[in-house]
Amino acid sequence: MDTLLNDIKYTIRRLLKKPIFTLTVVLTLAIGIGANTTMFSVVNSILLRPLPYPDSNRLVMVWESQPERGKFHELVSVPNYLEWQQQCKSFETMGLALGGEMNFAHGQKSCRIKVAGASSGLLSAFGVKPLFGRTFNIDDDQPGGNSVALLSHSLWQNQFGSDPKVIGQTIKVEGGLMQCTVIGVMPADFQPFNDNCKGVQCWLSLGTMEWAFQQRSNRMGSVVAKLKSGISLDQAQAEIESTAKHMTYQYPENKGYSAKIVPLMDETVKGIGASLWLLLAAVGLLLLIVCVNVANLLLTRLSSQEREMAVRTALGASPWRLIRQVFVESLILACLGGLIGVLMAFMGCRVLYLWMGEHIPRIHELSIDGRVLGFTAMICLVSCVLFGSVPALRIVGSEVLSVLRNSSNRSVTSRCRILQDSLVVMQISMALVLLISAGLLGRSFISLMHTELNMKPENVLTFNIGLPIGSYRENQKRSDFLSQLDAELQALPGVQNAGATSQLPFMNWNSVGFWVLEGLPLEPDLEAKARYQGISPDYFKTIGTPLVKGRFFDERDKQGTEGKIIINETMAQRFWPEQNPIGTRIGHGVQFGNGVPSAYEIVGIVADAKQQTLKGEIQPEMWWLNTQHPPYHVIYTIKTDCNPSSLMPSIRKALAQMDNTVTISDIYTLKERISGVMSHERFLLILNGLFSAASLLLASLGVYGVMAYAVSLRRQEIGIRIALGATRNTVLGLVLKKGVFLAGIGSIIGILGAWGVTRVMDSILYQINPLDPVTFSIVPTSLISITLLACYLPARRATKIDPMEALRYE
Amino acid sequence: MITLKDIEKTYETAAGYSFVLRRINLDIKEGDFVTIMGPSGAGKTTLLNIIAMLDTAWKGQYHLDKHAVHELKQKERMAVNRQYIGFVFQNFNLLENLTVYENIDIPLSYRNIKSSERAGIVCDTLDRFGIVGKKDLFPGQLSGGQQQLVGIARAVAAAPRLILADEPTGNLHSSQGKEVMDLLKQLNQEGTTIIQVTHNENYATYGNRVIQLEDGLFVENTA
Repeated sequence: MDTLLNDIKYTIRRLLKKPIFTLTVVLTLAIGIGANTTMFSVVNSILLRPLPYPDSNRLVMVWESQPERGKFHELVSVPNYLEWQQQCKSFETMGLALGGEMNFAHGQKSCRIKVAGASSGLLSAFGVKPLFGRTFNIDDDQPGGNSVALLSHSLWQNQFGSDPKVIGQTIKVEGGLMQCTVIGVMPADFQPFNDNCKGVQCWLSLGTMEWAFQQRSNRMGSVVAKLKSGISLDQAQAEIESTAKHMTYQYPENKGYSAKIVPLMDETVKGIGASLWLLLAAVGLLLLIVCVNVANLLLTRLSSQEREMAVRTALGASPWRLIRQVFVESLILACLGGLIGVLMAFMGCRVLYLWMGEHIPRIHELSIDGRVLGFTAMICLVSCVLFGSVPALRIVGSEVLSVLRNSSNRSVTSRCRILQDSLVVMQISMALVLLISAGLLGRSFISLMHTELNMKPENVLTFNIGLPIGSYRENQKRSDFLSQLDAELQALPGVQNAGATSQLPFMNWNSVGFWVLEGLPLEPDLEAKARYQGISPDYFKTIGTPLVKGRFFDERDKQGTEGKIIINETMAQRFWPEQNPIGTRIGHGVQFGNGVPSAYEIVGIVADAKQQTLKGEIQPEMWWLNTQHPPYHVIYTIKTDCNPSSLMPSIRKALAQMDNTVTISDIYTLKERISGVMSHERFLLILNGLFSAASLLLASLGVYGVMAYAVSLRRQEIGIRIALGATRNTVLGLVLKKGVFLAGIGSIIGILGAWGVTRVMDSILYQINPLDPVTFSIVPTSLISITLLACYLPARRATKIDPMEALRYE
Repeated sequence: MITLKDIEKTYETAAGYSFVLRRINLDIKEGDFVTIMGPSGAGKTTLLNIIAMLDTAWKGQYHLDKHAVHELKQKERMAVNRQYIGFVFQNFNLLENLTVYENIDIPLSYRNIKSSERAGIVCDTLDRFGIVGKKDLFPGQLSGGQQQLVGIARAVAAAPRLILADEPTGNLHSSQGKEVMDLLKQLNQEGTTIIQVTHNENYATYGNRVIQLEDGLFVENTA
């Protein structure tokens, strides 16, 4: 033991004597270990750590599904939920949430907040206990039952000043449409479970949502259930499928519908899992490059330590003792790198949280816990073994005598050089794999950015407007308000156009309407389906979507006249191929007009614009006038000729003059909203790009180090060559030839590696082949160029060797 | 103590095998002070390294005390080396990052001697060689003579029965060289067998026997 302590003491002393070398190795390791710790923290927090609910492994989401149409994540209607709850025995508890926004008023304060109607089973599934008060009970679930509300912690703090006597107070929702009694306050750490409930500030009892109980086809709820202990996912799936099948016989609205159970964890992290594992793999590759780099540095230094090792051997040291000494040094370096790496990871996690807080699920849970520290310790150990093995192997293979026999430390280097060259080739090949994957992601991102949006999002401001239902029950009142608001906004200085819509592009479109061709039976044909939304006449002009045929809406189309719609090109081509649908009359299904479909005339066709996702295919879309179906909630779009945000004060003033109970929320520019859609891709690209840049830097430094060392070893030889008449170019070529050779071999291996690795990226690339020839040619060429640049510096130094000095030096 | 029989060492070259040592037969008794002499390239150091068991690629028979070294594996040879041999180098080969104390301690640590026991041995050795005052200095802070003194102290610390010295005075002034040779003589008189390689004929007289090597062959053996 004391000899081990001596080894540690001598190693620390040696490292302190070479502070620049030590610092270089430790910082290099810190970059690799820090990046790995950060990425593993993300993977751990998002993918590995259980959800923050009791028995979260038993929590599932239950969706309605249409297997024949390949749809497995449809929202659930309240009647179907109630039926499942009653009939299925696999679940300990089942709950439903109906998310939305509402105008909220307490005293003189009013605002628009996210609310959700929740059944009592929902909160019991999550095992959440209120901070004080009570949660919902079965009586609260009954339609027309108790109108009670649970406040989120933030609403309680912001709107009620953390009043402990809030229980029993009455709040008004939607201009007095509903009056609810506060029964409790949720704890601050309760995190709603999915997009439908993200940011909910007020939970209303399900009984307050009477309308939701009426139509079985009104599918708007998210269902969460907790499996009974011992019940498997398959058992529960089989039971609910059987129940759903039975329901298709009972209820015509359920024709074609089944049910699908998905673990809540999978649902929460969907879409991000593959990207995170890819990033972890990328950062793992970076660590390998770091290890190779450090191994190379240690090997270079070991060359100068060979004499010491030989003397130790002559004094009786066994190979094991020498190897132990190397590993002690490696372990100390890895531990120092790990310590700094963990500090870097703390900062990295913070940066990621601030940067991606809104876009990555569970990122608020990002933290460095015991498992992460265990992982860091493990990678420190693995790194230590990886980069320590190379010099250790070198020691095993060293020849004591030849070292002792020579006074110079430059004797036994040929095998060492081969080893170093191999390490450089490894670095180049691994860096190339990372760079090619980053190149593919970059090209994919560029494709995504250049996707034809058929919109001009520059200088377009968007914000939500909520009309209190209680004050605006009549269609005419809402229609008048919206028309007047249109006019007021249009008149504001700096406004070019103002338009309103019920759904902006890339928002979560849940409203799907059915339509049928004029003259055909009114039964909904599932195949003939289009998404719909309401807009104001100038909406398309405001967001810059061009008209392809016909006309936009105008004054003629306003309330009181016959219904008119505008459709997109995809809809025109799918249902009227090679025909002109302008003037055609169509009807729509059961959602509006008390189940009696209305007839609409197609007046215009607009260019296809992505509405749901940037990567997805464009679906048939149709738009009617807001004033014909005036909504309570609209999103305004304002095209300005100045900084859009600067108009907000005058917009607020204009709105307040019309009605100060109408609220504004979610103020963003259209560009910001579109940018948000690409956040996952940007996240993936930037992190992968950073890792690749680091790998390129390390590989270049590795090449530089090896070449510089090689030049220093060949100093005498080069001196003799120059003395014998070698020109500058000859010497330059002599050194660069080796660089070209190493870069060439490394590139070939790297390309083969990338060819295998990038295939798994197919699912996350957009319009780019994983074997994209452009990326596969430009990236290696660039890497070789940079490698040659790294070789050039030592090569240039070689040309300046003074032969007399070099010979004297030896 | 040492019996070498038909020891041969060759190098393979493009032109064939080249002999470094050829048909070396030698007996060294315990307590001998043997000097190996000869021109450069005669094979002196090679012979010393074979005796030290640092060189493994040779043919013939080598017995050290009761051990048939030629039949031992390298690991076993190193164990025998640790048991019997102390080595003094021409260019001292002190470990630069270690103090004088630690340099003397290091071969003891390789022999798995307990820490407390080692401390006693090192202190005794420092005292014996009169270098107690320099125990915390690093090699770079010592003169050449002092470094070789430490080198010899390091070689004898583990109380070896055989000291191999490869031109121990080669890098020293004549006065320092004499001091070192006196020291070796004293160790020999205390019972330690010594084999030294030297070019210096004066220092050869310190021993009781001289071996002359030329082109890998014994040309004179003054037994």
